[in-house]
Amino acid sequence: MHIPDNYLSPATCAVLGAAMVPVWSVAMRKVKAELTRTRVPLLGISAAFAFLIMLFNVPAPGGTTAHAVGGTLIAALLGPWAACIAVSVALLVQALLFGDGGIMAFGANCFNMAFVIPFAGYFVYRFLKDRFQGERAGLICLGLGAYLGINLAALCAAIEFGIQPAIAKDLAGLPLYCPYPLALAIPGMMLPHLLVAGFVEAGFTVSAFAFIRRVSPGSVHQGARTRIPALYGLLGALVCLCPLGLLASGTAWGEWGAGEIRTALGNGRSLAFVPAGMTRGAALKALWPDYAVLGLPAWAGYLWSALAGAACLVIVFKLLGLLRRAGTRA
Amino acid sequence: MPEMPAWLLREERYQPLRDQDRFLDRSILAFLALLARGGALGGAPAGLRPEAPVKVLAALVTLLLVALSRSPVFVAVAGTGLLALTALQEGRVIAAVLKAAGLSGLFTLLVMLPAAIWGRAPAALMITVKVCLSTACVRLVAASTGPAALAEACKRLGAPDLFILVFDLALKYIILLGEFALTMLHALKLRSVGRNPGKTGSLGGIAGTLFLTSKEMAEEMYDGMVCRGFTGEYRVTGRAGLGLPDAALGVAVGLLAAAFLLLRRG
Amino acid sequence: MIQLSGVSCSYGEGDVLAGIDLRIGRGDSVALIGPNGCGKSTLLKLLNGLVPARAGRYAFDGEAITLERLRQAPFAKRFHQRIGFLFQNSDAQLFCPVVYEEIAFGPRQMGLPEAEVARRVEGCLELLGIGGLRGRVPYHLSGGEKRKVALASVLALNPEVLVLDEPMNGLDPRMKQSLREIMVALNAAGKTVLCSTHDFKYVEGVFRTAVVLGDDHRVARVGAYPQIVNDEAFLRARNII
Repeated sequence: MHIPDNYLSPATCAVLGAAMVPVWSVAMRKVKAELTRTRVPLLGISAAFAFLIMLFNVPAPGGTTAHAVGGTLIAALLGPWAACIAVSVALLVQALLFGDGGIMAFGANCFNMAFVIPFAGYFVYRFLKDRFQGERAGLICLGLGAYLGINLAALCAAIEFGIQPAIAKDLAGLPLYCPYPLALAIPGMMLPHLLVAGFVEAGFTVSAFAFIRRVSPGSVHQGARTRIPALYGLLGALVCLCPLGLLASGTAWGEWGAGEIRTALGNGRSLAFVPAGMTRGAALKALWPDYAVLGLPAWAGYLWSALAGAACLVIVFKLLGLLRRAGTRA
Repeated sequence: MPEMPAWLLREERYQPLRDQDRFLDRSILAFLALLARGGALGGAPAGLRPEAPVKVLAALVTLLLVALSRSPVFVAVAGTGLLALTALQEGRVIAAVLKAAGLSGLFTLLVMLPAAIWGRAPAALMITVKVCLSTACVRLVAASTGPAALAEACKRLGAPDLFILVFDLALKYIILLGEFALTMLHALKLRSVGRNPGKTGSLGGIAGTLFLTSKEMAEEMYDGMVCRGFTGEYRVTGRAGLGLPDAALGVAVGLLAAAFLLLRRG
Repeated sequence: MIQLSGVSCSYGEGDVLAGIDLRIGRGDSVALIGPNGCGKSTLLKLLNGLVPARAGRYAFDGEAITLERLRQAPFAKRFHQRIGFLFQNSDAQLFCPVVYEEIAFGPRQMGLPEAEVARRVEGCLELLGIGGLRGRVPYHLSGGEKRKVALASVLALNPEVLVLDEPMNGLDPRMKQSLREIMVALNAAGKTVLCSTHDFKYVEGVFRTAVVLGDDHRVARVGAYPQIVNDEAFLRARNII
């Protein structure tokens, strides 16, 4: 998943690098508070460990092999903040001395592998683990966390690649950096990770963690019970990413209106008719058709709609939870 | 002295099945390659050359200009400059730079191939060339600068002391732990005499042992540092003094920037 | 059993082993002696197929051992079963969470039924006097215990040749004595034993032959063990004592 230079525009690199700066500062502060004595040696050696983990070839389904990243493993062992620093330093060594990953793209690579993987993986793991008892369940939660972590990172990388043709064009409209749009980048990145790399990462993470926990349980990071705000953070991030939908031209497959369906299918050749049910069938008058709100620009409308929609869903689920608990108590 | 079990006295008649351990062989190769490259993590050649911070800054500027440029002429100019700089290095550095640039160029070409076929050939070609140059630029700095000097360069460019120490330690321990990991992989290989249904489990055991060993080493190292007067503060000293080679490199980068501005298309 | 003709080996620049000629017969017990840095460990690794020879020929039981042959998985696996290696660093040789599993690893791979696996594990535990460690975690054992567990896990494969890299390092005198007895017994049972060692005091009566490697990475002398070890002038000249 290491992104080389010149695949992402300098603007994208700058934005992701800037996003990492506060993450690193907070990580340094948190690590100073948590690991007092041995922190310098432990961080240095953990960075070496993070580097070496990425060298292992792990058996993959189908008889091939793949590399793991290990971000979720290190987060489960040392906590997510220390993992962020360890993986960042490992990535720096890889970029500077081994040519693995670009220098300008360093911020992007850190964002994907030193931020998304450890944090997403760790929070999914802890969130699920705190709600299920048992050692075996803990391992399954870790595997899920690792799988989701690496796939989320792959998605981020795919988005970083996929928006390049839209945001960096020359005069003739040709792409300057990665030439593959979202429609190609997302399946291109996600399919190998969903089908192969995710399982490799999960399997490797679980087996290493299981060994360490069995042999030396005291070495594992004892984190505080996850606070719910983390989940809100994830939701918030998803809400902010919604306007990306605007970049995709046309209408999502299957969501055509009656007029659109005439031209939508068939490679430019139009459907000669409109299905009768669509002209005369049920019509739902939505509150905010096409996500347009009161004349605001499209992206603002999207954000507003996303926020409102998410809030409504959360309220509904919480109310349901309340009802269920009341029901079981009765 | 207990007696020998009967099976130990017999000769083993054993015919292994066809089971590949590709992951093991590839892992071993990866670690061998790392340790071979470990020489590169060693000392730096001395002599008439620019200071590491200047080289790093020059490289960053060059990378940025190459990335931003839309002019094939500029990219050619930058390429020529890098070629000239490479020519000034010793043989082993030249080989490393050319190999890195070649490999990355080939890989990018493969990735860009669908785009090229699809009608974006000029863009694909430009990106491939830029990737070659960027890789060459970074490899040039890395191969001609020792890791200690690189760490110092980061310090002089504003990185915090804690980061420098962590980076330095990471480099040292990549080699030490890497050797330990390689020995473990060898041990696993020698005992993989048949079909191992728990391949990932064995690898997990190695990774787990590696982690626990690294934690122990960290605590020992801390004790060692305390015994040598470490009190929790970290100061990294930097050497001052820029000379002629630094000025020359500065001028070269300045000319490159000028060329960039001149060759900008609207 | 083992035959090296003109074998050289190098790491980067310079030879680590130069023009080694060596012949070890079935059932021999050989001590490999030499100053630090002469290439003893490399030679042992080469014999186990971990390091390729740059030049020369290595034949094991009449068959040439080359990189190409070792790439064929069944051949390599059979080879590794026939020659067992005890690493200098026992920490690196243990990767299972329980001692029983560690020793059972090899026999299980060979496809033996679980009852036979259990018999072998118990046999090794008893032979080495470590029955009490059966359920322990290898990582937390003492240096000597780790060495014995590692040796047990190698013996469980029932190799014909046993190669040991400085097995006495870091052991207390009682463990050294115990290990010495085991090596004698294994050789008496028909195993070929090859061992690199500095510890002359504790290996009396174990080896019949000694091979001396010099600073020049060549074989300096081969002969009867008692003769060589008692030739102080020779050993001093070779930086061994």
